[in-house]
Amino acid sequence: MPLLEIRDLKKAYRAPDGTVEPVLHVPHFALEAEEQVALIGQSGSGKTTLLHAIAGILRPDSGAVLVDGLDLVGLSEGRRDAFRARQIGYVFQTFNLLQGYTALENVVLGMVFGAGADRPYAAELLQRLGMGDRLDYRPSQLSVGQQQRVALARALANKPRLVLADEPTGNLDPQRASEAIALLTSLCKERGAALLVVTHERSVLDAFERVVDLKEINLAARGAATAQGVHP
Amino acid sequence: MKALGGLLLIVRRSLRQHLLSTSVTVFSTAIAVGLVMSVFHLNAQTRQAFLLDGFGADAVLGARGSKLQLVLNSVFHLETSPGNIPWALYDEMRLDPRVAMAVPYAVGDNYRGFRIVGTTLELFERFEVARGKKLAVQPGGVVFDPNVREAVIGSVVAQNSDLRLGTLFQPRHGVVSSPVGEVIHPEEYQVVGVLEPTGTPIDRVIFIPIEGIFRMEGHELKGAGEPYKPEAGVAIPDEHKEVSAVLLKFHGGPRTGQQYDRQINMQGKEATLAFPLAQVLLEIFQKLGWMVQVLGTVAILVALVAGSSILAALYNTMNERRREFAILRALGAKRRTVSSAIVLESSAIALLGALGGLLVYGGIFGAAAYVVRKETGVVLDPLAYHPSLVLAPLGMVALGALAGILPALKAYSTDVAANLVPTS
Repeated sequence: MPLLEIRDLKKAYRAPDGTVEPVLHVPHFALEAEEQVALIGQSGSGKTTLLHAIAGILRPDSGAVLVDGLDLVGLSEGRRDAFRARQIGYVFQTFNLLQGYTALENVVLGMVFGAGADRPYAAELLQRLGMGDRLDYRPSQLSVGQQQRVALARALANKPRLVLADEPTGNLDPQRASEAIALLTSLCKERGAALLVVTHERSVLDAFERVVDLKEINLAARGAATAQGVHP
Repeated sequence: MKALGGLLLIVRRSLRQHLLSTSVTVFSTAIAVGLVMSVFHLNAQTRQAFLLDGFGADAVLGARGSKLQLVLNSVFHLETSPGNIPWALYDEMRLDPRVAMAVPYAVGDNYRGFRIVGTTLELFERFEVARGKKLAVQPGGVVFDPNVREAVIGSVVAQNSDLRLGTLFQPRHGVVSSPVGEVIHPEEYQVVGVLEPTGTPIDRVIFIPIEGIFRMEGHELKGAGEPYKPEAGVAIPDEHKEVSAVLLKFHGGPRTGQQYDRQINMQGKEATLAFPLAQVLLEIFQKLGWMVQVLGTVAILVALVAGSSILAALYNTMNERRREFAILRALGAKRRTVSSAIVLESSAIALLGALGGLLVYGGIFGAAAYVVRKETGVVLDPLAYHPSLVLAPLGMVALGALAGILPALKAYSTDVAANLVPTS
């Protein structure tokens, strides 16, 4: 049984003029445990919406998102939140670190809603990512690369089985992008987590075991003109 | 339970991030809580103190006139004396078997603003300043000899004047101190005792033998109608003596007091009996009751404004914090966790304000107690229990929690997906 399996997933948004714009229609997609997959697609092809649906942040209109056999679509919002906190790590495109909190607190906050706060483990994780001397720094005091490491540590803090990353190299130059992806993939491998990365950076694709073009699995994205500009 | 640590971290960080608005809101909340506690507790304590709970006299007999003036003058040692009554009236009372205690007061002099009261030893022997508590002289001192120019002073007099055990002093004429044209009596009195503090107006009084007042140079006795000047070494006939007031305690309780009330106030024309004492003073509080109500209403309105300021301060931050809430939600925080953090934050602001309110209360009550003690000798205790000391802080925290509900609803309804997208 795959770790993640998507069946006939559909999501549409209502445009301001009242027309319904389909964003996602994924008949089938699967990810094995500890597998590392890159999902490529143009801007507006529904990448972020797909990740949100997998993470349970939004509920699709229909279909199933099975993680370890459990259909997230059928769960209440509260149970999806709890499941996400325990089983899924998320790296956002802009890192989405909380500005008023230190690097360590950002990582700890990633744990309190899941397995529970474990400051020594959070500190150890940051140390492993070369951030040992920046534990008490706030995001605004860190470089972009350092912020990304904190975001990565936060995503892995709950020892998730699945890590989702949305354009994690979007703000980095090609060299740093490759380094970041190498770190991400090696850490996930080390921690036994499957990795699904959404990216449009073709230079980093070699690092992945499998590359999937969203156009191939998302029928709604095939008419790019339809999807463009409706929703990310 | 495990999310509680996260909640507290979110609250702490938010309070720190919005330090200025947090400080202003906490300050206004502290003022509100302090005001509510002070107004209600001060009112309760002054009522208790001035309604003479436990005071060792049932009534005061004095010159015909205002009962209130009589009580203020003879019990609180404020105001001027309404006049004197003949010694014979005091004697009549003293010898009446229905009277358990009759303590005469003769007033008219002061020392540095502290009133001098001429009295008899019965004051020290029978009068109870509070239930079961007689006046006591501090170690090293004694009660005055009624035939010698000796004085016993109250504890506040000892603290706030140059009078100490053994000090000689000359009384000044008049019940208030007058820096210009002060008449100093030539008689010298020696302090032989300092009273233990009582927390009552007695602490501000200098007691001397009543004979001393009669014989003070410049005093004239008009007990018999015609002025009489006592001569040294010659006993003063009782018909010439007069007293300013008599503190009375009756056998038989209120019934005896009512009999005297009818006898003296309705049928007699010579004197006034202030009975029951609490009733006389209650009239003041009834007259001033509206003022206490206004103050109480203002204090409660200030508390409501403080609650509203918590609501406004939090609500104004909701837009800028939508992304923060979305991130927390994406990290697995439930809607109710995020909204609970907001209610917890508003409660924390109110709690900090309530704690600050204790300081404000201490300041207001301390200042008021100082003035009351200085002016009347009555001691107000800020640490004495009053329901407002518990209800005001708890009520403020509840109001703070209530104020957090609207912002919390806004946080609750945050659209996670829409607020996670890059803003640049």
